Formats: sequence, C-alpha cells, structure tokens
Amino acid sequence: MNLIKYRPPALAVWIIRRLSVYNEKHSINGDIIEIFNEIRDEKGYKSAVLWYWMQTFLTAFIYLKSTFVRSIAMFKNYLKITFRTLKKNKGFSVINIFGLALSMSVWILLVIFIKDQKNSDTFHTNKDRISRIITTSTDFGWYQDGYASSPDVLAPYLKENYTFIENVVTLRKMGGTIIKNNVSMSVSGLFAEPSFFDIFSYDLLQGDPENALNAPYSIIISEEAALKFFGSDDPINKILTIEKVGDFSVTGVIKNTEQKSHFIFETLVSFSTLSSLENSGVYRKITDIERSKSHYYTYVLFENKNDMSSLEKQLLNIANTLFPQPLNEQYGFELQPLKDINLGLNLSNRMPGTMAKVEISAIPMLAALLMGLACFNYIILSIARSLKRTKEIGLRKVVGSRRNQVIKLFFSETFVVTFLALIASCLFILWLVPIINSSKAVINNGMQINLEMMKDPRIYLYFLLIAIGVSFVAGLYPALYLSSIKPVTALHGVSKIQGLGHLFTRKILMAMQFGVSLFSIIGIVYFYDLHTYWMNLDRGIALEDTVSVFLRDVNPNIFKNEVVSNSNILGISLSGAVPVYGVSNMTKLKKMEIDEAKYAYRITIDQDYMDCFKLHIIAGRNYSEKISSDIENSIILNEKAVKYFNLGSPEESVGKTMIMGEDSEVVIIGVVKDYIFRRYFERAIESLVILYRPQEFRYVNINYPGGRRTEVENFLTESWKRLDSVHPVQLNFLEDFKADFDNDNQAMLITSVWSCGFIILVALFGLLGMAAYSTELRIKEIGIRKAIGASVMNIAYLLSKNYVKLILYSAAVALPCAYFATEIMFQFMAFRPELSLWVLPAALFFILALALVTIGSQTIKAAIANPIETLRDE
Amino acid sequence: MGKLTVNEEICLIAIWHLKEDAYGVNIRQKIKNLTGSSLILGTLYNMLEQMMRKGYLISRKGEQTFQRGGHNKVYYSLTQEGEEALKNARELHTKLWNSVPENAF
Repeated sequence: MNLIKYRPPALAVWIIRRLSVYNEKHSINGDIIEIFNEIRDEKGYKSAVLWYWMQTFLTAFIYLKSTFVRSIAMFKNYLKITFRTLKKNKGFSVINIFGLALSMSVWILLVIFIKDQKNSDTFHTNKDRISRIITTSTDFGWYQDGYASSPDVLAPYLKENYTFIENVVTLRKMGGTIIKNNVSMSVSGLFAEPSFFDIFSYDLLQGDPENALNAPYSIIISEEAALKFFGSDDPINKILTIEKVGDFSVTGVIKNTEQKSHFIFETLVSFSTLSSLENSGVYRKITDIERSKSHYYTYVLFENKNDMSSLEKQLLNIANTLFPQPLNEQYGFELQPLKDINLGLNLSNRMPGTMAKVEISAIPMLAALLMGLACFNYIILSIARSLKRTKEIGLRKVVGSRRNQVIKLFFSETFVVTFLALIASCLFILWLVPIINSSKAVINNGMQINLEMMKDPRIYLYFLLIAIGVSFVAGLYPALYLSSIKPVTALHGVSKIQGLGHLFTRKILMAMQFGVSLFSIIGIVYFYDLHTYWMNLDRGIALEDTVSVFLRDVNPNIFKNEVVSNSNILGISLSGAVPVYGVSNMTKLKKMEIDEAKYAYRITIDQDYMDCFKLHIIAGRNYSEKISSDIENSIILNEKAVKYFNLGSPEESVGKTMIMGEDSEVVIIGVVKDYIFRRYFERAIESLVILYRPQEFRYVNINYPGGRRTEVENFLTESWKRLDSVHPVQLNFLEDFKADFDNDNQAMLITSVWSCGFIILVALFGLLGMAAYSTELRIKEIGIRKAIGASVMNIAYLLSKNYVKLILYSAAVALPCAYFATEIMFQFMAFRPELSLWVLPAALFFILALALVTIGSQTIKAAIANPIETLRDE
Repeated sequence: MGKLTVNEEICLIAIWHLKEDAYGVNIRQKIKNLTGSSLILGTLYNMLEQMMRKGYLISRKGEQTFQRGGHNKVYYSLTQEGEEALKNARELHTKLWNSVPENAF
C-alpha cells in the first residue's frame, strides 16, 4: 500500500497548521483530515487533494481577512481608550507632548537642513560623473582635511594623459567692482573656462554657452547686473569695466536660479583673460605650483562614473609628477565626487557656499541628547501615571486581557502621544524656520533652510519613522512595566505598590537628567566667560576710534594734506592693509647660514604707524622716512619672530642680516613687542615681519577722538569726494570689525543658551512629573501627617528631601566632569580665560532652586489637600 | 441579547439536531443537508468561535481517532443562552412571516 497516496498534500497541511486559532480551539486539523479521507474513499485521491487545496486557500484567506478586521477593531478600541486616558490626564499628556515635541523639532530641523544641503548640485545633468580634485597637505592636523583648491596645471595634465576623462575645467575666484557711467556694483564670481557649461548645467538667459567664455575679457553677468547697468537694453556685446582690472565685453546673462549649489557666483569671466592680466601686471603672476594650488579649482567630467576609481589610483603618481621635490612629500591629490562636496570634508580655500560635515556635527548630538531626555521624561511620567491606572490594569487582566494586549494598549498610547508631538513639532518648525532664515549669520553662510521640501510627501515618511522610533524607545519600558502589574496587588490598593522595584531605574534617569542640565549650564557660563574674555582681550595694539580708508588711486600724501587740518584728526598713518583685520600675507625668511626658509606674516606700515597704534619697540628703532635704506633693506621683527628664527635676544638680533623672499638681503633694525596682529587668535601669536614700503601703501589709518565717529565719517566722505568723484568712499571703521567678530561669537552663544534652555526645560518637565508621582504615592501619608499636625513646610521638606539628595549626587559627578571637559577644550586655545570655580556651586544652586520651585508646586497642592478627602478610602 | 444572524441560526439548529454528536465534520455535513450549501471550513470555525464568544456554545474535547490523523475531536453543545437565542429567533421569524400574506411574492 503506497501510503503517500493516502496522505493529504504536505504543503497544504503545513499551511493549515499555521492557522493558529482554528487549531487551538477548534479542530481544523482533525476535521480536514477526516473529510479528506472520506472524499478519497468516495471519489479518489485526486479529487480529495483538489478539495484539500481548495479548503486550504479559502480558509487561509478567510482567516487573514478576519484577523485583519479584528486588528482594526482592536486598534480602534485602543485609540478610543487612549484618547480617553489622555483627556483624563490632560496635564501629564501636555507635558509629555511638549517635551517630545521639543526634541523632535530639533531632529526634524536637522533632517530638513541636511536634506537641503545634500540637495546641492543635484540639478546638474552630469552630476554622477563630476568630481573635484582637492589638494592634501601634511601640514594640516586633525581638524582640516586639505585644500579645496588645486594647481592650474592639473586640469590640462589630466585631460591630456587620461582618455577616460571627457572634459576638465579650471576655475579661479574672482571679485571686483563693475563700473559704468558712475553706477557701480561689487560682484563676486569665477574665472571659468569654456568647458564650464559643458560640465555644469547652468542656463543662460542670453548668450551662447558654447562661445560665451571663449574670448578673453568676456564676462557673463547676472540678471540683476544686466538690469542695473543696461536697464531694458540688450547687454550683449556691450562693454563693462571692472575696476583696476579692465574692460570686458558682455557675452551672456546668466539665469537666476533657486537651485542650491556649492558655487555662489554672480558673474563668470573668461579664464583666458588671466594670462593677459598677469602679463600686464594687473594680477600678480603666479609662478610656483605651491602658490598656484591655493588659487585654482579643478573639476573633472568622466566618460563613465566607474572611471573615477581608475583616476583615484593614479593620483599619487600625478602628484609626484606635478610637484617637484621636496614638495611632493608634502602635497597630494584626492578625488572628491560632486555630491560629497557639500557637508563633506573640512577644507581650506572653500567655495563660499560650502559647509563641512564637522561644522554641523554638534546638532545631531544635541538632537540625540534632547531626544534621550524627552524619552526619559516620558518613561518616568508614564510610570507616575500608572498609579492611577493600576486598578484599571488589574481589572483588565482579571477580565481576560492577555499581557500582549495590555502591552499593545500602552504602545498605542505612546504612539498617539508621539504622533501628536510630531504634529506640534511640525507647527513649531514652520514658525521657527523663517525666523532662523532671516538672521544675519545664516544668510551670510548660505545656511538658509528651504521649506520647499516640506511639500515633498516622502519627508513625512521620515517623520513617521522618527515618531515610530521614538514611541518604541519611549514606550518600551512603560509598556513592559505597566503590563506586568499583577491583578491581585493592583486591586488591593495603591499603598501596596509603593516600593515598586525599578525605583533604581527611575532614580538613575532623573539623576542623569539633572547631570546633563548642570553640565549644560556650566558649559554655557564658561562659554560666556570665554566670549567676554575675547571681547575684551587686549591685543596689545590700540584699535579703538580708528578708521582705515581705502586709498584706491589717491596719492597718500595728497590725502594726508587734505585731512590733516581737521580738529577731529588725532593721528594719521599708512599701511598696506587694514590693520589687524586685513592681515593675511606671508613671506619667506631665513638666516643667511641656514638653507631652509620659514614663513612669517608680513605687513607694510609707515613711520607713524607704531605711534598711532601704540606699539612698543623694545630693541633697535622704528622706521624713519629720513633713512632711505629703510625702504628696501630693513625689516622689523616681533618678539616671536626673533625666537622662531633663533636670533638670540631682541637686542642681539638688531643688526643681523637675513634673506627674505627669493633672495633679498635685509637687515633687522628693530624688534616690536608682541601683539595680536591678526583677526583671529585661536592660535598663539606668530612671527611677524614689518616692512616700510611706500609703494604698497593702500590704506590711510585715522585716529579720531572718542564719540566723534559721525563727524569723522561725514568729514572723510566729503574730503574723499574732492579727491575721487567717481568711486564711493570706503571707510573701514575698526570697531565694526570687532563688532562683527563679537556678533559671530554671539550667535554661537545664543544658540548654546537656547539649547541649554531646552535641556533644562525638558529636565524640569521630568521633575514635575516625578514630583507629582511621589506626591500621589504618599498622599495618604501626607494626610495622616497633616491630621497629626505637620505644617506645610514640614511636608514640603519631607517630599523634597529625596530629590535634593538626588540632585546633589548627580552634581557630584556632573560638576567635575563639566569643569574638566571645559578645561581640556580650552587647553587648545592660545588665549583663554581661567575657569572660575564659583560657577560650579552657582549652577548647582540654580538647578536646586528651579527644582524646589517645581517640587514645591506639587507639595503645596498636596499639603493643602484636606486630609479627610485623602484618607477616606481607608 | 442580540439577534442571531441567519448563518448563526443555521449553525445552531444544525448543532441542536446533532445533540451530543456535534463536531466540525458533522456540523458541516448537517448544514449541507439542511440548506444544500457547503461551508468552507474557515467560515464554519469563524462562526463557531463567534458564537462561543457570545456564549451560545461551549466546547469540549473529544477522542482521538486514526481517521483524523491523531487529532482530537472538539464537540460543541448549546448553552442555555444558545437555546434562548433560538427560541427568540423562531418567535421573531414566526411573527414576521405571519404578517406577510401567502401570496405576497
């Protein structure tokens, strides 16, 4: 007897087995076999099998349908219950929603921002095949990854030697003022080769992208510029003059675009112009590759995106070929695909619209922190509310709810709360973003957040995922915890649950919240200290009440004569750049006997500069206009330079000869006391070489009496008009630079204060919940005590005792951590304040005060309650 | 007590007929005899489950047989509520149909 022919089909049997309810309570397994056998006996094996399969499919279908229907019904039921629960505990619900909304807002802001940034350069059709070549240098430490720029010889070299490269383009930054008929407009832009339009997808409103950048002295302008200079006339082939540079023929108008790109440019000038600019001396000729690498940008279009890795392998060889010894050991090349440019590596010489990943890396940490805290709160508050619900839970279980169902109920609660919080955050964001976008700091850095993407439905999927994730994290513990409450204990009464295990967990969570709040406050205060320190730092140079006027073509002496008679002019000096805030040039310097030259900063001043800015010569002498050798052959060093170049003591170094630049011999005639001569002072003071080169004087620095800024401004503007009627006067008030700097710092400070505020708020929410919880817990105890005769104060003390202890414990950990963490961070700065210790107890006091107020609100409520009410149940 | 659906009525009556012998296969067979239509197993069990939840039926485990591949039978019997429900259903039907003249449709 072939047994197989007597059995029902195995696969179908397996399916039937999976229909759990029918198996457990009803006897589908048995019944279906019985009928199968009957049919097999009556009609044969094949009919039986057919019937069996039919039943399997149909039953499975029905089963799934009814399960689905039941789940929906259950779900609706849960929702109903959830809303009822939330309404009953409006206070707690609002707190939870608020806390979660706050932290979700930060997440959402982050998601939007990153998506927006990542969106940059996505409009180019060739985007997958475009890469930039960046230059790496062993000079950079852990903080920066290299230069965004690369030498100009690179692009032609690549195009010539690698067939898989379809096209290359070299760019160089360009800036200047366009002048026509007394209308001027300052523009930023790029020198670009004709291949620019072949690689990148920009549209020209007018002009032909094939030819617009071919001829030298061609310029493509923005719509705004076209309107400004030509009105409604056709700008093509008309002439525009860029000051100090030359006359250009307009070959195109670039279409305005909202598309985000890591380039920000208003004009494009033909790259071929550069060679004649260099030949005619308008631009300084760049001969060595080491300088060239800082000025040009190389972009490559590959035939096939797979070829990118082939080039990557070759980059080492290419660097060795292009950089001569010993530079090739210091510099190298790396490939940076277009999509990785924004929010990528931290590079020097960036294109203005680019942001590096590290710069925004603080935000995810903040978001994660806030989220963690908010989840803590939710967990704590849920458990707190559980007191009121233990009876309900007990009842449910007695009536027949399985633990799974109770768990699902609590999860659905969490989900509803989270979802409401999500909606609240979205609204909050819609309100907040326009405010952020209008702040100056954001506009300057191209960091505006584009809310366009809120219209894209996919982003709501992200949000939903966030909501689900949060509700899972926040809801897991409460769900498991609350559902495990045993009916017997529950129905017995609240007081029996007092010592609920997990007390330790709650305490830890609370302590952590306080710890984080303390840490934040201390951090903020120290930060503020740093900020004020920097604001008031004595640079060693008198920059107050000074304005630096750009001379343009005006002869310095003529200018001096024009203004010297005014009573508001206290001092006049000349320099090659705006003092301190304009210093960036460097030069090579070495001792005669030594081969290796080192770099130092370089400024040009006149003989009055030192007096005007109150700098001190500590050895040798200042420049004098009477001594002709001072102009070509003399240098003054600062103290640091003397040490850096091993010249002995300042006195000893005077009179020594050094080689500057390529081969100029110079004599040290004096040493100036160290002062902070650059805008930034994160690093310690570096070496400075001070020269006296009248041909380099570009700026007149005028000291005026305090409070007379407006008069001076008016006077100088008037005087300027007499000397140069075409160009507007360019007055650089040094106090404005300082204000800018302070503003930048301030922006960061304000952000930090807000974040700290968020954190403390979330922690206080948590405390509020906990206080309410423990108050409820002990409501009977309070009643009894009141009845016995305790005062409100006594009760308040009793209830707060534990929390105060908790805060003190967490302070024991948080305070030292905050102090040492800040200390370590400050170690890296050259100029930093001492960390005052009184901040620590002050922060503690502050948090304690807030905490006591919060707890107080609950204890007062409890203490006032009528003992008769609370003890009624007993 | 809620009204019985037609299917539930059929099912309960079938079970009533079978008395002590009402288990899955038999019930299905009986319904086929009474009404002429053959139920899918899934539908049958859904109904039985529903009615058990409503309290009209209780179940008890029966014996194993070789015929069933070693699985137990599950017998169902009417509860008092079940019989009440049937009584009400009959009343309702009688009242309803008595109100409609014979040659109405």
